[in-house]
Amino acid sequence: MTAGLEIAGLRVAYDSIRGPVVAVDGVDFTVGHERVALVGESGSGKSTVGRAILRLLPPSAHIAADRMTFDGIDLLGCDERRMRRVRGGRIGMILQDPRHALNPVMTVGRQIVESYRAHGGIGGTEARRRALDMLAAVHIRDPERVFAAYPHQLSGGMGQRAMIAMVLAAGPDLLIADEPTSALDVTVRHSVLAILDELVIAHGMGLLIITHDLNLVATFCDRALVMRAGRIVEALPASGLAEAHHPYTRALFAAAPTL
Amino acid sequence: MTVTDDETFRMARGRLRSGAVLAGSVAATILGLLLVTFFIGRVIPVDPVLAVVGDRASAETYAAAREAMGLDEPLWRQFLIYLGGVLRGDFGQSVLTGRPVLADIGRFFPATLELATLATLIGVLAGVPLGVIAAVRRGRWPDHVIRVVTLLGYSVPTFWLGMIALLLFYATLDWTAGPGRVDLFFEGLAQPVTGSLLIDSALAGAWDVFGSALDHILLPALVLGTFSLAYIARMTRSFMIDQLGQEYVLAARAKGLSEARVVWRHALGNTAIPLVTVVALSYGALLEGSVLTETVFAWPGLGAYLTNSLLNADMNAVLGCTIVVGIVFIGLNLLSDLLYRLLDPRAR
Repeated sequence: MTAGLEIAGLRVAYDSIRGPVVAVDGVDFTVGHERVALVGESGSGKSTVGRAILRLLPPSAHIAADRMTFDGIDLLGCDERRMRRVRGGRIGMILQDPRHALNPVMTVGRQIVESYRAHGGIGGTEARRRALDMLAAVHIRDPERVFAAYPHQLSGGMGQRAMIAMVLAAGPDLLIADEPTSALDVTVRHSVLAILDELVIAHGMGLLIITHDLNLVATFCDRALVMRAGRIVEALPASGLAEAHHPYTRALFAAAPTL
Repeated sequence: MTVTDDETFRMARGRLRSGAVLAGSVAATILGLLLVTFFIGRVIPVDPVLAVVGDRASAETYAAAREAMGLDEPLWRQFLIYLGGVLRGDFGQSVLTGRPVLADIGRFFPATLELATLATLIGVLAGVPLGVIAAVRRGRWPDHVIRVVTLLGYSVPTFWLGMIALLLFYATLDWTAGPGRVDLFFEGLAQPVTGSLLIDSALAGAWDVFGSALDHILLPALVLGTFSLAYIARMTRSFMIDQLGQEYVLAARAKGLSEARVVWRHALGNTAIPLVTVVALSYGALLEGSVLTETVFAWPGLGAYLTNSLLNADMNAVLGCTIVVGIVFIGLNLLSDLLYRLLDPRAR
């Protein structure tokens, strides 16, 4: 398999006063044109993996891997210029809480336009037109209003849709979604996920969804990788999560609240 | 979203009410300021009458002067009389200069305004970029250098810095002009319009006067600017470090934006909001008249005037200066409120 994300032996350690702390301890997986979930409890290292792929960890983090490539691009070895084209252009990232992940002093429209202009090499008018289309594509009923709005003027679900529009703007081939719905109301979670799912399929993107919500995994994903203490302890089809063998996965599943 | 007439009316009424509240609080602040300064001026053990008549005057002269100055009246009447004068725009006479206090302030305050504005400009234009660079290079050598330099700039007394600067750049190297606002030769040549010598001389096209004035203001402005630069740079650094750790910065980087855009557009755009207060406060402190710097550089500003008046028990002048400083602070507060709204959509 050559297409998509290939990771082998990924290790991340953070500097601390008491020496290096290993957050990710040898992780291997691939993501092609499929929907893969990375599940695990808080502190298991799943978000660190997501950020390490885009080299967006703080300077105190040290990343090493036997292999970390995307469509043949060496994500660890390439220079910052190349990496910048990968970020947003090839691999997009959706963060948990739109209230914090959108710049509060910039209109939503400008932030989407910025994505286009960073990658598309297109003019302002064209970028604006495409941004409005993108807002319509994430099922925002009044794109003009949301375009001109500041993040605090939007609801959580609306903000997360705007964020999806912003991240998908430059047409990435892989989407990393870090807890994309856990900051949202239960009532809007489903609609945001449905939009995400629809767009991932429409654009033929790969999706790496980082979550602790096992119900979400079972409904939306093809495969699940279970992480614990910096390692992947089990990889299995998402539909088989309930019949998992590994005691940790079983414990995780047993801990999920039922609605 | 449609705005009904009713909503428009309610918004207009709300704006009117907040305007009235604002005017009321401004008036109350100034009244309180006057009250406190007035009574402090009356209870401190100085005798303004003696300052006028001298200590060799006869008892009759003393009593006559005391009556003429209105000091035989009860304290509360004295205050009301003074307040009435202020409302009519009469701040009384300065004993020291023998001119109306308002005219004195009109002459001295522009010099301070000019100096403080230039120093603040230096502070912002150099301090903000330094703070940003220190935050971005946090923990590495640019950060260490900037932190040490700004700590020095912040803690070295300005009068000392002023004297060293004069010694070095004026007395030894002869790069700049010495104390004073302008060379004696040009004194009084520019027609006072705004009171700022730089602007007045430029308006009149008197470029030799302008050059001399610029030569004179450079050193004191740099000395004062160093202090405000150090303060602004340190605050910028800490605000920036906070902002650079925010999620939206991560999201901006994940979009593939250049680091320059992430730092200077996204993070600095948010840092600018708390920075407004910092700049306004440091500007206000300089406008109060930086007494020591004005003394070292023989700068005829409000600080020097206020100090002289205080030392000579010239209470009308002191009160007048107090009102000016109070109004300046209130004005700066309003201005920073306005800027806040401009910079932060959440505050609108």
